Amino acid sequence: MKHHPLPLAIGLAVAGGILLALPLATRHPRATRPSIAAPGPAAVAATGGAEASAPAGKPEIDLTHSNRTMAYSLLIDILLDPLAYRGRTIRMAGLYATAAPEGETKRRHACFISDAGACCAQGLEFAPLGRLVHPDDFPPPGSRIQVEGILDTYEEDGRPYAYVRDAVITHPSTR
Amino acid sequence: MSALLETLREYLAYPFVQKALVAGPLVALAAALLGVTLVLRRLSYIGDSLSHVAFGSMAVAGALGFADRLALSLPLTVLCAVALLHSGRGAAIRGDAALAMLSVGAMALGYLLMNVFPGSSNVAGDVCTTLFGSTSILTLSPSDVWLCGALSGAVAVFFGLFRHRIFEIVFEPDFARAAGTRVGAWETLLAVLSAVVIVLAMRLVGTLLITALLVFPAVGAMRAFRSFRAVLLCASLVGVLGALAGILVSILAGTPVGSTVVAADIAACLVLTLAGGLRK
Repeated sequence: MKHHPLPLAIGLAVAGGILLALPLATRHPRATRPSIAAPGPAAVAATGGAEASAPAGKPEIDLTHSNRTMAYSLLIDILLDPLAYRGRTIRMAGLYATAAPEGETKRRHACFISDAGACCAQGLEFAPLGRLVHPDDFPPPGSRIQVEGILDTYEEDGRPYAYVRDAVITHPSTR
Repeated sequence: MSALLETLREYLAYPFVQKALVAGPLVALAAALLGVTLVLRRLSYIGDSLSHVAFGSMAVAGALGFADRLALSLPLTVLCAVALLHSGRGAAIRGDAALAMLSVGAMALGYLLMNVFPGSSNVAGDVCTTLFGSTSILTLSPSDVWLCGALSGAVAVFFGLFRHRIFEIVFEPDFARAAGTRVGAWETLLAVLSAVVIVLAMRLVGTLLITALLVFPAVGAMRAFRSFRAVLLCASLVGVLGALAGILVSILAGTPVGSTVVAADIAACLVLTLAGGLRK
């Protein structure tokens, strides 16, 4: 008896999909549930900033609760469209890097996160809260840190760049 | 399960995810349709060679300081596609050795140029992203999405309107030529479309995995169906669903997008092969 392959294929595909989805469904909730309170940048643009609506102590964008693919992609989106994210609170964890660019008096600090393949890394600059002195008040470069603050922009060569202002740095060794 | 759906709902609110879910399946659709003609003409590896040429030409464009690398890589890839796929007597490049030389040469020179003229401080990362498409589909601009949509629409309309002509050219080019069809012109058009789709598909799966996007949907469809129309429809469906599934799984599970899409295509191909085998 000849069977049409399409229903068979659909049936096999559904079965396969269920089998594949089971591991995802049973993942630890912490790994799969990001603490992203606001629906997206469009809402931020419409309301002119979400600081007033964000609950205290809970960032609107929490990259620490997103997987690497989403965290990296979201960070790229922030860097590509910084004005859309201005004013939102953010928490991210990654590797600390610092540099004093030639010709500048100000030292720059950044937190780098890598993508799923760990071949690409992107950093987001941050300006620490308070008067911190380098290197005494900062962790060693390359160490893992957590940064929490407010996304803002500055202009350079006529283009806006994103950074985290009033950033609170948490270093595991200082906890 | 509800946590997973809640996570998905939140991720889908982001414009960059929405853009990926629109552009990815559209590019996969175009690749699947063109892949059917390439597989039937036993030119499956052409996609790999053309993607390597695109990689090399993007490196050249970067070295020359092009703001938009597509401005150089697209015409160069189209030229190579026409040279490779034109089956007339005047074909500039013939034979598998020539194919290998072009493919490897473009890749090596491209990597060399990216190291000598780096576009950023992270050369390894740039190379890795271009080769494997780990997150490039999640970093599209609105114009990228429009371009993917326009191209995929054009390819779908082309195949929809000229399905019979394409069938003639693929299976009976000599007969078509004798009947007055301008086979050379049609082959050139297919070559140009292939090159354009391959360059755009690099954003979805990367240079090294493009062949999968071309081949797996087509091969799976051919295992399950016999008619050309059914193969085209099935390959399109597999391509679109594979890209959708791959992108969704990738953003939920945190896996590289390109290889996850290819894994989904492989799974679909296996399912269709099994279904075709059971049918017999």
